[in-house]
Amino acid sequence: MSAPTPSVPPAPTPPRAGGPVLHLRSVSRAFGGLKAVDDVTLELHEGEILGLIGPNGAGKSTLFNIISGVHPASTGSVVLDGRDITGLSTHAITRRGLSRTLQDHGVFAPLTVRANVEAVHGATRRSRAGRSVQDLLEACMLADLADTVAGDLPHGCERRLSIAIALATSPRLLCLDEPLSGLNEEETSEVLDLVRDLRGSWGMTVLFIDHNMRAVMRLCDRVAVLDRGRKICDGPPHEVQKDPRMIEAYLG
Amino acid sequence: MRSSEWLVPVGVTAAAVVIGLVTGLGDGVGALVVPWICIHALLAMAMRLVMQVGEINLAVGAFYGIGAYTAAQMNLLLEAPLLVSVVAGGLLAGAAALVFGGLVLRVSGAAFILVSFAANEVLRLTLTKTEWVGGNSGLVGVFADPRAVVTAMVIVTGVVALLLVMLERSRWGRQFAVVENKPLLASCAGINPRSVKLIALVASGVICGVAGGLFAHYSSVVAPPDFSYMISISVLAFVMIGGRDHLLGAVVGAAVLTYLTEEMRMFGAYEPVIYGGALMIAMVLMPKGLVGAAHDVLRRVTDSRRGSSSDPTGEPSPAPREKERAS
Repeated sequence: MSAPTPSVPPAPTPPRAGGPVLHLRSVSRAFGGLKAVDDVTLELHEGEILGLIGPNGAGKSTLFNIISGVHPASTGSVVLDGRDITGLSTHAITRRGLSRTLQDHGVFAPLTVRANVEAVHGATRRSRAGRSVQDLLEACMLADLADTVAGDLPHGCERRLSIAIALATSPRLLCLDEPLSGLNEEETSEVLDLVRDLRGSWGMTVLFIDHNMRAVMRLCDRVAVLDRGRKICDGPPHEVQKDPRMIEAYLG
Repeated sequence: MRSSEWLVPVGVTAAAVVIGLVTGLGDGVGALVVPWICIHALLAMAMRLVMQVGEINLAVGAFYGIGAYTAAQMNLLLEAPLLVSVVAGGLLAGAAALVFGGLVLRVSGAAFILVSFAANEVLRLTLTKTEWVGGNSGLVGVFADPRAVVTAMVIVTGVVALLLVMLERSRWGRQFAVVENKPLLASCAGINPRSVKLIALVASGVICGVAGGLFAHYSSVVAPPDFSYMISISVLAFVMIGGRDHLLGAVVGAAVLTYLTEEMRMFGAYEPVIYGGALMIAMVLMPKGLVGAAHDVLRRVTDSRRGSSSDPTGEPSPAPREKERAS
C-alpha cells in the first residue's frame, strides 16, 4: 500500500516462482473464414512488461479483445493467475484483476479527473480495497489536475487519466491498448516513464500494445510479434529486432 | 454551478412543502391541478431515472398501475392507513420491476422499448379480465381524507426529488452516467451494465408504485384505462419537453404540460391536435427542453455580462484556462 514515488528509478522485479500471471493457451479467433488470431500461446510473468507488436491487421487488437473478454475466443483458453477466465464477460474479468485501457473511449469527458477515477474506484469491492483515489492521481501525475473536466485535458493527460482509470480497478495485470497513439514526443516519454514507475514501485505486470516500435523496444522486457494472426517470434527486444521473421513481417 | 445544482432541489422541496400545506388547506385552482402535477412529476422522475442508464421504459404505466391496485386493495380489504398502502404499492411495483428487469434487461435500446411497451399492455389487458380486481370497471371506493392525500403527494414529490438528486451526485449516479455514455468503459471498470440498469429500473418502479398508490387514494377509483401505454408516452413527453439533462426538467415538464392540458379543455375536440402540435414544435425548437433552453439563456446573459470587459465575443472559454493549468 505504499504510495509510489515517481522519482524512484525503475527496479525490475524478478519473476516469482509461481505460475505466469497470464497464460494464453492456443488461442484462436475466426471471423467467418478469416483467422484473425491463429493458435497463439503466450505467457506473461509477474512484474514483466511484455510488448505485443505486429503490422496492421496482424490480430493484436483481436487478441487484446479476447484477453479482456470483449470477444470470446473461438478455441483455446485464457488463464489469469491460474484461474481460467475464458468466456467471462469484460466486467467479470476486470473484477478478477485484469484491467485494460480503451483507445478512443478511455475517459468519461463530462466528469472531472477525480470524478472519473472515483466512479471506477467506487464500483467494485476489489477496487475499494486497493489504492486510494489520491494515490492513483499522484502516481499518474494528475493530482494537480484533479478538478479539471476530463474533456478539457490535453492529449497526454487524457491518456494518463485512462491509465489511472484502469489502475483504479486494482489490477494484477494492466493491459494498455496503443497508449502512445497520437502523442507527441514529450507526452510519449511521460507515458513510458509512468509505465516504468508502475512496474518499479508497484511491481505491476503490463501488457503493452503499440505501433511505436522504438518505444516498445525501449520499454519492454520482452516483445512478442504477431503476423497474420500467428505469433512469429517472442523474446528480449535486442533478439527480436534481429529476428529475420520479424524483419520479413514488416518489410516483406 | 455546483451550488446552484444544490439550490434547485432544496428550493423545489421547500416550495413543494409550502404548496402542499397551502393546497391541503385551501381549495382553489391549485387543489385541482397540483395533485396531478405531483403524480406526473413522480412518474416523469421515474422515467428519467431509467433514461439515465440509457434505456426508455414504456412500462411506467404498468408499475404505476401495480402500485395503484395494490394500494387500493390494501385500503379496501385491510383498511390500511394511507402511508402503509402507498408504501406497499411502491414495494410491490419495485418487486415487479425486479422480476421484469431480471428477465428482460438482456436486451437494450429499441428492443427494450418494445418489450416494455408490450409488458405494459399485457398487464392492462390482464387487469380487464381479472374479476377479483374488478375487471374492466376496476376497483371503486378507496377512501381517504383528500387533504391528507394532497399534502402527502406534494411532500413525497419533494422528498423523491431530493433523494434522486442525492443519488445523481453519489457513486451510483456517476456509474449511471458512465453506463449510459460509455458502456464499454463501464465494463472495463468492472461495472456490470446490466446490474446498474436493473438497480435504476427497480428504483424507478418503486417511485411509479408510490405515485400509483397516491393516485388510487386521490381518485378513489382505479381502472385499467388509467394505466395504458398512453400514460408512459405522456410521461416520456414530460421528460423530453422539460429537458432530460436535469432532474428539474422532469418536474417542470410535468407541471407545464399538466397545467396546459387543464387549460386546453376549452378547445374541446381540438385539444389533442393542439397538444400534439405543441409537443412537435417544442421538441424541434428546444431539443434540450424547457430547462435546457432556460439554462442556455441564463448562461448567455451571465457570460455576456461577465465577459463584456475582457472577452468581446462573450463566449465561454473554459478549455484554454484548463490547458494553462495543465502545462
